[in-house]
Amino acid sequence: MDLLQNLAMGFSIAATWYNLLFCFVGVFLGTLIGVLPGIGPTATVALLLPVTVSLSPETAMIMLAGIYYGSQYGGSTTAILLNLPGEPSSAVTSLDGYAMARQGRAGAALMIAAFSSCFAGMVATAVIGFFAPALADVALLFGPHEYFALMVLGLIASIALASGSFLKALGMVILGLLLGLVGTDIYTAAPRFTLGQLALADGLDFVAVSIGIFGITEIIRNLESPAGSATVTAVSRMRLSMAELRQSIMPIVRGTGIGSILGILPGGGATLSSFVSYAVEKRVAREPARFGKGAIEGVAGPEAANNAGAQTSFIPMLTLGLPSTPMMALMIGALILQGIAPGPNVITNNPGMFWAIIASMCIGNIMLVVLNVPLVGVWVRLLSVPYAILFPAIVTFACIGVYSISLSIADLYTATFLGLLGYLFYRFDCEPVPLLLGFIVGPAVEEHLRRAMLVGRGDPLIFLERPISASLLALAAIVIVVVLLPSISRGRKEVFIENA
Amino acid sequence: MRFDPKDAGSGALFLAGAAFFFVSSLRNLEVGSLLNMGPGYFPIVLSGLLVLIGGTLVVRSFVRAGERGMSLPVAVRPLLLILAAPVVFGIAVTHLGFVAAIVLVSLVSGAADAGLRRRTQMLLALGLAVFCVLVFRFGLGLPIPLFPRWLAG
Repeated sequence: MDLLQNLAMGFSIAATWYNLLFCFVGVFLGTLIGVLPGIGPTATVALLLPVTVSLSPETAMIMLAGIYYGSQYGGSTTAILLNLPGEPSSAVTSLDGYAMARQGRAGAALMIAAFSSCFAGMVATAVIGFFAPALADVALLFGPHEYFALMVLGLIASIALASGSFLKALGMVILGLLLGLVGTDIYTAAPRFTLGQLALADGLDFVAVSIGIFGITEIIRNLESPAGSATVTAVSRMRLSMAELRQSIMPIVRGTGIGSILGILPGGGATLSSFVSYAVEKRVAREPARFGKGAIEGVAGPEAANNAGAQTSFIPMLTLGLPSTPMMALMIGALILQGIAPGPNVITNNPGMFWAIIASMCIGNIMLVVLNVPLVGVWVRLLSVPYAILFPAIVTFACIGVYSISLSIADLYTATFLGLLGYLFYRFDCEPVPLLLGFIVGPAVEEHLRRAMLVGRGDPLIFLERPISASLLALAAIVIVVVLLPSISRGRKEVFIENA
Repeated sequence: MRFDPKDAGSGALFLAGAAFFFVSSLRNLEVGSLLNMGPGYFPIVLSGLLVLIGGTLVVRSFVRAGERGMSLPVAVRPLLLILAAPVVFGIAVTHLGFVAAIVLVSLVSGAADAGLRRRTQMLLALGLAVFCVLVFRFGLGLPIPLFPRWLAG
């Protein structure tokens, strides 16, 4: 079978000692930053992008992917032990996980979190192996119209599913698209919005933009409102009773399914998956009242869902070049830095890299269980590292990282400018994520639009004459209408508030 | 006159951004036609949309006036110091070299938190300098001069 052959090739690449080492570095770093509340996986990956330039593409992607799913693990550890979700995607885990910990069942909660994440990771890996090549084959048939429609839908859907004001998110996307256009126009070579600066001829540097808007802004935010420290719950013995395991099996399976599907959707990803899984478990439970008071299903389901979602969100990124989450936007940035054009050709042109990433996810998930179960105590002690020591180091790494990309001072100014912009928008309740998504797809959106217009002889109706692009655009329109309907938008707000 | 500062602020930022992209597209770039779009076409469409969104937000800020206010006072010190850090690094790395740039950035950003003692800050800065030189200069081979030319030469 093709799939098995490809997987075998993937494993043979991923299992070289070099790639194993970077897979380990990735999941280790991921767990570390997942545990530390001051810094998230997005900022970390942004900081490490410059480092990946010196690695081979597969090694770079293996490490970055490891950081992403590793942070899901680390985030749930602190959510359970300290009621301090390291990552938003583990926020629901703390509801029942922390309750379990206070009942002296911390060991059981940690075990089931590790077990369900590992199971979900394995299944999601298989899902990627099955569906990504098929989706890429379909995408190869896409013309510029379909691509344009797909990107519009992707951007609209990802902001519709995010929390907060739709109007503001839409504004952020458009501003991001515009920022993405800075630089030399590829058709006419006219410099655009460069303020006459030669340094901006290649556009705003992706690393500088993402470090500015995530790294710099995040540090200012953290310094403004220092997180309170929590008391550590003692970890009981790592033991899981058969009854608890039996109770968890169905939630794990459901959570894996939910996560695998939602992860593929634009804007879905890990966070939404875990919220949905928790809501589902609460609904199907025989005694919903137990939830929030230490129900093991409330840990097993969401933990499976967030890990599955984190991994299947790689599918649209690797097959369509479409980032569904900020993390995937950074992954696309990493591909571009490696000289690989994101899109449906990635799998055909770089089969080794694609299958090695998938195989490394399997390996990495097992590493995580091995790493986490015995090391829980070490991770928890790390929380006592004061932020006052941590953040000057992060700022220094950020500056070096931005500068190292092309030894350009203009990139450093870009980072400062985007940091200021990100901070202002944060004060005005605007999420920075849509801006980054817009920034990364901006040039592609424009290129496909211009090509589509050339092909269609300047008739915009061509988007509606082609069935695929018409249905994609119709879907985008439906999403907008649904979000703007007052009753539903109120419901959407409630969903997020209730769960927060 | 009362207004919602968050809507008004974001609206104003969007309008400012739209104005920049709109004006410089009109002034410097060929717009072209729908059939053959020039470099100015897409930015003009986008900035037009952004004007609509920014305008709506500004108008809405007066309608929904006073519903919510700014939640926290702006902490000026960390804001300015952290934003200054990359600029300081940029200037220092060209004139003073890599080592001095690391020490300066660490001190400038460390000053954003008043809680840290002077001695701890110095130690942290020196430790970071050693670590970063080892990792970035020798480990990753970044071609950045460690010390200023006038000192080395």
